[in-house]
Amino acid sequence: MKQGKGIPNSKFDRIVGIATTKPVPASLRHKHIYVGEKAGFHSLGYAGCVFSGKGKGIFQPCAITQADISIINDGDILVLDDSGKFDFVWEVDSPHNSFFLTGKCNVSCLMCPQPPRDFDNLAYGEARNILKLLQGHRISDICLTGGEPTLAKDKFIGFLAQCVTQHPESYISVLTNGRTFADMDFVERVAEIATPNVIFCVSLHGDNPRLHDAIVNKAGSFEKTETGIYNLARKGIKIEIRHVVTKLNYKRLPQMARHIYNYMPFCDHYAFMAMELHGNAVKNSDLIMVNPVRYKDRLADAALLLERACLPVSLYNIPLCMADERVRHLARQSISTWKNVFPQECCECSQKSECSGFFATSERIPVEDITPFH
Amino acid sequence: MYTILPFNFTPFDDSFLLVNEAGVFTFLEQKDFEDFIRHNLSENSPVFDNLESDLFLTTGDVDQAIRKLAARYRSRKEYLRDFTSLHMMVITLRCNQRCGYCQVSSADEDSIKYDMSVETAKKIVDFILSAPTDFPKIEFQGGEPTINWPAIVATVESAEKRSAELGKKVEFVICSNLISITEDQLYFCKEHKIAISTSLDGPRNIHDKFRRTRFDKGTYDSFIRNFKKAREIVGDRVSALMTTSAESLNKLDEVIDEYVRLGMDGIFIRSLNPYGFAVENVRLIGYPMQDFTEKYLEALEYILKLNEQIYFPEYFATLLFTRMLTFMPTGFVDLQSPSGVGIAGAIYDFDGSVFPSDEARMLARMGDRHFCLGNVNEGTFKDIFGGKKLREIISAACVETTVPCGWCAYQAYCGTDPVRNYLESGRESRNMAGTPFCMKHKRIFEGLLRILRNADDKRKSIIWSWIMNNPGLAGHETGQRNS
Repeated sequence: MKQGKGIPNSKFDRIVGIATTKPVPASLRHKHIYVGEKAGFHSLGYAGCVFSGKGKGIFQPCAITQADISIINDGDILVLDDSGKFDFVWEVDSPHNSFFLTGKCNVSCLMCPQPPRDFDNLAYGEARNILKLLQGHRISDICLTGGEPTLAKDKFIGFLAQCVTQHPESYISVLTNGRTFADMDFVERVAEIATPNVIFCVSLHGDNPRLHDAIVNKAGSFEKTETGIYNLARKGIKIEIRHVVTKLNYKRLPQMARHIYNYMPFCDHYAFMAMELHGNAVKNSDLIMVNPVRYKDRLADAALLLERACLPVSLYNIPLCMADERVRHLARQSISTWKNVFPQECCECSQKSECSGFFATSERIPVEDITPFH
Repeated sequence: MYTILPFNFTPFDDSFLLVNEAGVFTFLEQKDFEDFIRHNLSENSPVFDNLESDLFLTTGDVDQAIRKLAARYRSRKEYLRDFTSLHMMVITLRCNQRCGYCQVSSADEDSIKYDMSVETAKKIVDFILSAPTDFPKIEFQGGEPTINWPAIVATVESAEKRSAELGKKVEFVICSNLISITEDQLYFCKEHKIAISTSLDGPRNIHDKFRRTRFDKGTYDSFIRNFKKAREIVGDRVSALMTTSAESLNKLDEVIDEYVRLGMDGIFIRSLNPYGFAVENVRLIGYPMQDFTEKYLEALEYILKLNEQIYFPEYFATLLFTRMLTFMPTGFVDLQSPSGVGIAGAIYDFDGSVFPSDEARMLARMGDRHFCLGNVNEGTFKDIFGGKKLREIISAACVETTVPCGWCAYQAYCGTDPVRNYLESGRESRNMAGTPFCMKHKRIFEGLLRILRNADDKRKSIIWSWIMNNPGLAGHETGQRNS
């Protein structure tokens, strides 16, 4: 998540609000965070403030001062923390906004960029507050993630229902490991609220139980996840299969595609994804790290198998110069704006504007494999 | 420990072919195969992983594995839900041609007594529209159906009126040799969106060999003239079928070239059926089935090469590739299980008699009414299609439960035809091993699997472009049809 930093002017509880540089009527100020140069009568009544200069404590008890406010756009939703950090929990100009519903997870993937945490990163309460602030705004995309967002079943259903009612226009994707959907009763409840605009992006990292279970680091997961996928399909809920390529599974890419085509051809989208070297992935790097050029041919064979059968397939996080030319057209710009980066080697490349680039958050970027287009 | 899931197998070239219940196939080296079936295969091998991934074995819950197989199985048999959608009407037995291999024993052009009456035609329409399907397809056959034009007009007009009342959508096809079709008739087809299915055996020297008028003149020139006119007036809805004879067996490339030259969308290389006149003339026009399969596979190779330049599918291979590679349902009256006779298509003779297939009707013409299901003048749709007779025919016509088809490696791709069995052996169900029907399909399955096993990217794309009917997949312009 995009973050900013400044100096807090006092102790305060976390504040959520919509950033504004323009004056807002007094009655609406409690929903907004004023962004400006300095404090004064004009900045009174807001939930909080972010100042580029030094704030005056008397007028503004809850403010972050001496911050770079050029990174804030009107309409962004910020969470101010009295450590001096402010999180961009919603970026108005980005199609990649997510609700982090929980830090908890029922698997522990070797390559997880956001390893499970005991506490809830953003409690459902805060997520609900953010959603409330978005009321009346047109939003193209909403992503629900975690942790495993479906873990707290009732809360999840409540939150999804609220998203669907409040934003019938939005495409809602839920990033899940699919295990909870092995419970058909739960799937039936989800089916009652999921509209055709809701898609469940289920991670499936292997074509057999040994491989998938080793990668998600939990026995029995493969069976639960595949049952989950079948249950979702039975209820007509939209599904995307997400397959993260690691050193453990890249050799089986073509067989993975074959497995998917033979037994799960009913999904709405299939994505093969290069990994982000962050979180658990760094810790397990020796075991799982593999550069996209290593599996270029196999990935092309896999993606082509699905494409020939007219299934919608995409390659995520694969820079164009690292994708085989047979499947380059399937590579998408998939990396969230706030963590997307192009190293110096890409400067001269003519395809940069079409390319996924790299994760800024990755511990190491395989710059040696970059071959710019001219 | 692992559980072996249901599959059939056969030695194949230097290895073993395995096909599971849902039609997924794989090849195994003999050593791996022996280890696998003896429960000795090591879990730490890619072969083991592949077998589990393809559902030839499971280390998990067997019920769950079966559910996945069942989903694919169900999807592949989905055509069974579309109960009897093809209804063929024999408008007349009269014909203006007398072809060497004719399947329908055509009557002389002036034997009016073999015409379907307008009253019978209207009765048949009512009958068809009482069938459960909302999308019935009516195919006019003969003889040469255009000779009894008033019955066609009456059927079309009555079916359009009645289907509009019932909220159904009817499609029409006329099977015509085209040699005497008039412009007025073509405009009628255009106006009522009637498709035309015609016959072309190849270039003049091949076509004229057997497709001749009753005065023993070649028909190629009049065919070509009227085919072009039909394309002009009716457009894309005009297509052609060929029949392979001894004359064309060694010249299939010439036939294919002729089809391409005339702008046909593709070709169906059909073998001769042993019915009607064909039996009498078998020495002149027939050939052993193994010769056909050999030439068929050569022709297929020729067509696959051709597809590197243009989009031009061979339809029988397309059907079988679809069965081998996909979960998609592929109903095909001549080769499905349960057999498609009666439940996929039915045929109404000129006098209103109902038969489960064209061949059953021809058999009746030869004096054996064994398969006659009834007459539209005497029974309701429910009586005839829900009756004991059809149920008995169908329940005996499943390769899954027939010896030795039940354990044949190709069972998932094959089918059966009780009428043909009866015709050849006097019984609807029999041991198919070694019959021409079995030999033909087995050899073609083998040939196609070899093609798939050795296919490079380019060839895979061509095969999938046929399966998906999408020229773009093989790098041809989307929407490119060769006309």
